[in-house]
Amino acid sequence: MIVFKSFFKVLRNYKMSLIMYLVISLGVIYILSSFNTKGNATYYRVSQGIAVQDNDKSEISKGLIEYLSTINGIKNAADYTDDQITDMIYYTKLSNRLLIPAGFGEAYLNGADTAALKIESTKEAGARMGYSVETEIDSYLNLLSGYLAGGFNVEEAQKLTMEALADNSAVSVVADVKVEDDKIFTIFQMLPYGILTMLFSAVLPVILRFGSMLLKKRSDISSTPVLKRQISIALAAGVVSVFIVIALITLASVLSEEAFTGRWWLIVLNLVTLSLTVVMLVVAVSNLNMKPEVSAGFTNVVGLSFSFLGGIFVPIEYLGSGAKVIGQFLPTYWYSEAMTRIKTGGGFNDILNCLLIQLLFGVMVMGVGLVAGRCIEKRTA
Amino acid sequence: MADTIVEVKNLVKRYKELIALDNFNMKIEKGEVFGLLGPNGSGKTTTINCILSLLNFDNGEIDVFGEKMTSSRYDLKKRIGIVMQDVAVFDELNVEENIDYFCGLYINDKNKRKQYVDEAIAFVGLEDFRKFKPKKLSGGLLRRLNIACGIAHKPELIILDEPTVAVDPQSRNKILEGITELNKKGATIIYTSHYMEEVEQICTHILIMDKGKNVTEGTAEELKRSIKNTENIIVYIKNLDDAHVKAINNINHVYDVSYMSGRLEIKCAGGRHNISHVIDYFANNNLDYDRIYSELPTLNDVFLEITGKNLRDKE
Repeated sequence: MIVFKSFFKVLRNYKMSLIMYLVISLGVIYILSSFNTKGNATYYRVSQGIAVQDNDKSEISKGLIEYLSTINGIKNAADYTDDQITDMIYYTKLSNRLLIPAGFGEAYLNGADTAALKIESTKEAGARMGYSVETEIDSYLNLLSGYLAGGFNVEEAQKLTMEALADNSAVSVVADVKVEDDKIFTIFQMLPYGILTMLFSAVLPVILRFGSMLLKKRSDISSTPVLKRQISIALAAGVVSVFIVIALITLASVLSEEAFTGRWWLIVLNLVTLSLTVVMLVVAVSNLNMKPEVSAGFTNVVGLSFSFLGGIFVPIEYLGSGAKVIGQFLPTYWYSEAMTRIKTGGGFNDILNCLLIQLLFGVMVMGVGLVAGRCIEKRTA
Repeated sequence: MADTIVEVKNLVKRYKELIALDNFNMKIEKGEVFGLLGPNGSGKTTTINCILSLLNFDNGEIDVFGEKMTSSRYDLKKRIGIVMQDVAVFDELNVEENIDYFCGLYINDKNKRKQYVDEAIAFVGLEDFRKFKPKKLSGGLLRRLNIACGIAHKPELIILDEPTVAVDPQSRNKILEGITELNKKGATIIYTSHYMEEVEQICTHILIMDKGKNVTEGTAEELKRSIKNTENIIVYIKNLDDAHVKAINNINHVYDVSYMSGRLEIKCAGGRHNISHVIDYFANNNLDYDRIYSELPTLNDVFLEITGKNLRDKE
């Protein structure tokens, strides 16, 4: 119990770091969320570049392309080589390359569940713009099938679909529905930075202090078993971490004015998973027998690098190819990826692999940290 | 018959090629202030670490309070207090919190602990510094805090590993008085230090070790009697040439003479009135000196004679 209590007494010395990073996190959240406030915000529909290869040439495929052309810039894929299209996608001049297979229209009208019904969409992994185009296609085809089922012929159904989608987008703008939708994502997207910096700047130095060579040796001589002390430290660190995560979730929920909805639970699950991973990262670093003073440097390096490379501060699609490759090895990248999937309507199964990758990262780093810690301890014994 | 508190039998500890302890033996009886001396690298700290089960050893036996000591003998550890050579306290906790923490590693009862912490603070004279953090304390006060953390739980065996390093004479005196008082209250003390006068002042039994082996042991007086040197004559004289130094070396019972920076040190083995013979030599040779006096050998002489004057690597 004395170790558990003393953890908090030592932690008192790092309260300024906690407050500082909390204020920074809230400041960033406030600034970013203020871009998405309700009221007079203006919504601009973003136009994407799409390269289309229509192997079907049916009324349905032509109608779809016509609809997409009202929103996006359409290019004929046949005018470019594969390499040129790949380069254009890489440099974000194109968001997608769409391949409409032969027989698509017929399969669509017959309601057949065949390969011909599948439009092949090539896009940059994790790119929001790519998902946006796919959402437009799904919306068009779903609505069109509704009108066809209602007894309209193809020409009438296409006309009504076009009108309805145009009306819907107008309604969306007036009601600011889309703006509200984005707020929770904008706010929760920033929380990993707060969790990383607060845990690294406050919890890490306290664990490092208890594990410092002299104090550890002095405590090992005592009649309190090592395991009992370690459990007390782990419990105390856990309590602090849980408190920080709950506080941030509460603040973020209040700011986003959304809680306990389906997607809110998914977002919270994603954040809790990331927090668990960060705790494992803290445990790994705490085994390296460093002085508590180095935690300030660690906080900045880890906080900023994980946030930038993981798409916390800047959307993943804006990162360079090298940064993206590195980012994929960070848990924050998969946190952002999960957020994107939730935003585009993904459920638990859609984000499960992102959650597992985050946890895998934590387990691996913690394993490496524990082994390295043992080696250091043996070398210095 | 006295109770044996610590018994070390044929202890062997190797660090790869280096033999740190070579069949080392030690027996500490209840109520002793046991001085463990040796040059740097002689194996003192290794011995202490083995007694405390901080280190595994290759061979031998260690009994503490009559029972085999292992790292999981928390019942035995509860009866031991340690004051380490390096100050081991939390920079983030104040004096009272630090003592409470280390006492709390042994004592669970909150009220009892509070009483023990208060007593430890009073014992080392830190009443006015209860709320001070370690960084605000002077070197001497910090050492006293280190001691308070080690003794607050009222252990029966206290191990003090060079507790007075870099401490001013006032604080050192306070610490030594405290150790004597702890001993009077019934604690058995193991004391290591490089300050021979301290060891001579407080230790009731002294063991000198070197290269991981026992060299000699006994009381301070017994050790002094065991060496060749019986008297040191010191003369402060300017410009003494080598011929005179050699001649003085030939005076009866003189076996070693050294002259450096105007200080002549003459070591004698046995004999009586040795100082008169030296004074006669100076008078016969018309040599003027500033000051001359004789002193009995100290523990320092014992230590240097037994372990030699060559510099050692740090332990």
